[in-house]
Amino acid sequence: MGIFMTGQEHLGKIRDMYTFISERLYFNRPDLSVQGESANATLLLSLLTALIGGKALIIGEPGLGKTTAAEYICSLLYCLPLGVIWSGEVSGHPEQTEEKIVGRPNLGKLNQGEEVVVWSTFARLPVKIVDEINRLPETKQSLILDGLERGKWEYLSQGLINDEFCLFATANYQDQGTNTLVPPLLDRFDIVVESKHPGANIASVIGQSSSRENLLRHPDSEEAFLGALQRTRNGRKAVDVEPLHRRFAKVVHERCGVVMLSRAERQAVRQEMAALPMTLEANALLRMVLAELSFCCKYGQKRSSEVCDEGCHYTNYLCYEVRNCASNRLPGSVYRYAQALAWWCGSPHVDVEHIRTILPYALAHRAQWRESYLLAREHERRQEPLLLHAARHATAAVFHRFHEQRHDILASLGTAARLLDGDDLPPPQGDHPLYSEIRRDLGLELA
Amino acid sequence: MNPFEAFRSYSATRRELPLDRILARRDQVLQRLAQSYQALIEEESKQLIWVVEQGALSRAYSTAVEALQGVDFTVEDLEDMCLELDTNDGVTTPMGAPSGLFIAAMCNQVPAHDIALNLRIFRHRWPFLGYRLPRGRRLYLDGDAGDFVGALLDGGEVVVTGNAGNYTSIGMKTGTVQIGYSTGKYTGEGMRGGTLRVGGRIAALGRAKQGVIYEGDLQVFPTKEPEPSATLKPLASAAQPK
Repeated sequence: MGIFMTGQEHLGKIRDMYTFISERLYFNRPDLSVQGESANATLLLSLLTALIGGKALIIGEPGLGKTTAAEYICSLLYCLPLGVIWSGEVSGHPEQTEEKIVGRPNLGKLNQGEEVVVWSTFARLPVKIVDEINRLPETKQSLILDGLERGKWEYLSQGLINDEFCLFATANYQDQGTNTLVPPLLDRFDIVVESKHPGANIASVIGQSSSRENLLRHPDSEEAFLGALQRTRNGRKAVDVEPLHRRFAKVVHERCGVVMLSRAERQAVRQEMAALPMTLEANALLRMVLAELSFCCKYGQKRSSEVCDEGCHYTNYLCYEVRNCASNRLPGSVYRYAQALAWWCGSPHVDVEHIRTILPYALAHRAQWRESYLLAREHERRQEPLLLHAARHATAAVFHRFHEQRHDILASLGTAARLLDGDDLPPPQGDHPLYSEIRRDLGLELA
Repeated sequence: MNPFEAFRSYSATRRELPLDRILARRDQVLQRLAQSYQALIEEESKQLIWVVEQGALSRAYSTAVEALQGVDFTVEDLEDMCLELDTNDGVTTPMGAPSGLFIAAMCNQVPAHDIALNLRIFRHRWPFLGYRLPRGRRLYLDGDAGDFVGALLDGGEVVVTGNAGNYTSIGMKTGTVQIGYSTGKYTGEGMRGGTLRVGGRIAALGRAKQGVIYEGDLQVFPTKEPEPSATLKPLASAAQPK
């Protein structure tokens, strides 16, 4: 009962935070509906990203609040003044260097023959915001791959590991100054969301409202935080910044009425989310999606260098429409965010609806579609950028198939479980790529 | 590692579609009706007498009603059983299969007031449809009916949209039989009450005792004495000199 109450309290705090941001800081329309509740996808998924320590790519036209949304959310979730968040931000531009992003040598110590790294605020903070990431040249994108993946930063012979971190990167649509984000970097993002125009009416209100950022600024705290971070040097004991967090939390509570979460509470929330089990249906749906995004009957699996032929038996499945293979990061992203969404909804488990809601956002930046598929989607009526629309279309197609075949799929997976245990049963048969995958796992087909 | 471990328990929950349930129930009912019919056939095959004999009919009908006891069926099941009998009934007797009597028993036992059967889809033209149909029930037969339609009608209403065979309404007690077109010989034979309306022609009237029979708008039983025409009545002025 106690744990349950704590969980409810945490959820209440996060919901209050969402309401506060949506009413005072980031104005936009609801464009996501889950379990009968509507929300703004960018705000909700960004909030969940910060909460679970995920990685979100926020795309959109310039000036539509991509970076500010991330800043506000991170400030509130991690109890950091806005000035500190700004100090830790990295801008994507062609002249960006490892020294500015990760760390630099301590020149004084170096003169004395000692190799000591001065880590950048970006590397040290648990909140990482890369502004306009697609302005980083492709060669420099690899500089941050490891750091973004594991929170592990290396410079010279020293390393820094972030125990807790979340990442937000923003990207404008393609223009003369942007570069293509390399697939390995894209794949490291759990989700992609678009920060949309809020509409003429809300936009006019934004123009009239007073400076919103002052709500989360506190120069005294900022100075104290930055000072503490500067004093933390490699080899020295890290300065305890918890009192500074508490001080800032108190300021924000008095100013805005929002109760912030401590680090321990954030960890407790993560544990609550991680404890949410997935229903068999949700599990089967995820397997269907993964099968369609990785299976190839002719070449064994999808490979971006191999294009499957016309007239394949599986032409109507996504494996024909997609060019690359789903990475192993995809199910992880879907599962973690679906758990977070289920927690947000107060659901005791992750069900099909949560998976279905998250899938387009987890798939959009990862899938490389056939040109014909994108051409077909391009001129369809839509409210989202093409990549999200295509992913949503694909999700709907798989869900439709799942809805038709769910019992057979579940029964086949059950049969497979018993067959692997040595039961004498007829092997599962079916037309979906998942059946082939099951048969491969049972050793009935060549893997 | 068993990657399907989570699904091991799934087989316990058997998938059931509503349609499966409906079909299973239908099959079950149909099977019970077929068993009832088989019981009737077995009983009557001992006699092998299918003549218009009150005792034989009554006995066969009672057997059919008895066989239907405890079978919970609907009008839709009745239709299905008719289709089944139409397709598979190999029992023949000089007066046709006892299936007609069995169908009549079903019509009288089914929990419904309005029963409609589309006779156009059946190859057989069963006799005795509407046999002993009780008061409060209406049997609507779309198409041509066989012999003995509405026999011993007991207060119900039988409507045939097409033609009917011989012995229509034989022994009818009360109720109404309405034939859209024509009837064969012995129409209204032994009628003791009720109303028989034939929209077309009656090939030959039987020996009715009571009740009313119409051929078109004309009442043919009991024959009405034609009313004397007004022009034939003696004029009051002509009568005065008497």
